[in-house]
Amino acid sequence: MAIVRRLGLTLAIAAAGALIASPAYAASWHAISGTVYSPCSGHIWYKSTNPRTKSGDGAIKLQFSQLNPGGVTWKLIRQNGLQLGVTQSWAGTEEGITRTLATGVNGGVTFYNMFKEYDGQCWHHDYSFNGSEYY
Amino acid sequence: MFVNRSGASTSAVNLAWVLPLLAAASVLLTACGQPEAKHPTYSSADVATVEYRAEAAGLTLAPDWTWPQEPIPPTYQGSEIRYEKGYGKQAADQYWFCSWAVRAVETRAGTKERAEAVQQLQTLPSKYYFEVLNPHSRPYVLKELQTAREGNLDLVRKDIELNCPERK
Repeated sequence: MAIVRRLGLTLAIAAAGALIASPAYAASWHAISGTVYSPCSGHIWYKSTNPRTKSGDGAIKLQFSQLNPGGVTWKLIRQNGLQLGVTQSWAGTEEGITRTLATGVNGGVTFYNMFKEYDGQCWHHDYSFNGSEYY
Repeated sequence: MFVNRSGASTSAVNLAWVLPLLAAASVLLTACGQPEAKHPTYSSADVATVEYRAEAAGLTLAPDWTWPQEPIPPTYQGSEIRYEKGYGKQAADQYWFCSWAVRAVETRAGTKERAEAVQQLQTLPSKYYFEVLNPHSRPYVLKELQTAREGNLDLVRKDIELNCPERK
C-alpha cells in the first residue's frame, strides 16, 4: 500500500460534513502513511492510487511524524500526468520538518502522491512512514 | 506410506515427499525475487494497463472519444514508476468522466445530448474512482455533480480545465 488513510470512518464523515458546511472548502492537514520499498529502490517511484483534490487556492505541504534512515523523496503528479510544483526530499532524521511541494495551486486541482526512497542505499529493509499533507 | 520398509523403499518414499517440497520452495524463492511478489500492492505499468483495459471494457465513452493507446506511462523523466494496485482502474474511470464532462459543456452538442452527458456524470459515485478518491475530496466532487444536475456547469468546466486530458 502506498498512502493509507489513518482516519476512522467517523472522523471522515465528520470532516466531510464540515466541508459541506463550508463553501470555501478550506485547505487542511490530512494524515498519510505508507511504505518505502527497499533495498536499492532509490530509483523507482511508487505512485499512489488515491486521487486528492486541492481544497481552496494555495499551497500543498508535507511533513512526517515518523521516518526511517532511508528518508523519502516526494512529488505530486496532476491528473493529466504533469508534475505539480517541485520535488522535495526528507532525510531520515527530518521528522517534523514541513516542506512546500507546490504553491498557488487552484482549488479543484486533482493530484496523486508519488514517492521513493531518498538515499537509495541497499542496506535498508522496507520501512513505513507517517505524516500529514496539507491540501 | 509411513510404514518402515527396506532402505530402497524408504528412500523412494522420502524422495516422493522431498522433491515436491523442494520444487515448491524453489517456486516460492523465485517468486520472492520478483518485484510484484515482494511488493504485491505495487505493479508495473503493464499490469496497471491491464487493469485500465479491464475497467474500460465496461465503460462507454462520450461520442468522438477513444481510449488512449498507452494510458499508463512506465517511466517519469527516465525513472521507473510502480503503480499501486487499482491505479489503472481508477485512471480509466477518470478518463471516462472527462469524456462526458466535455460532452456536457460542448456547445455543438444539442440540449438533449448535453442532458444525457450530465446524467452520465451522475454515475461517478458508483465508480471505483470515487471509492479510492480521498474522502476529504469527495464533497467537492459531489458538489460538482449536484450543481451540474441543477443546470450550473461552472464546476464541470473548471474540472475540465484543471484536470482533464485532451480529447483522444
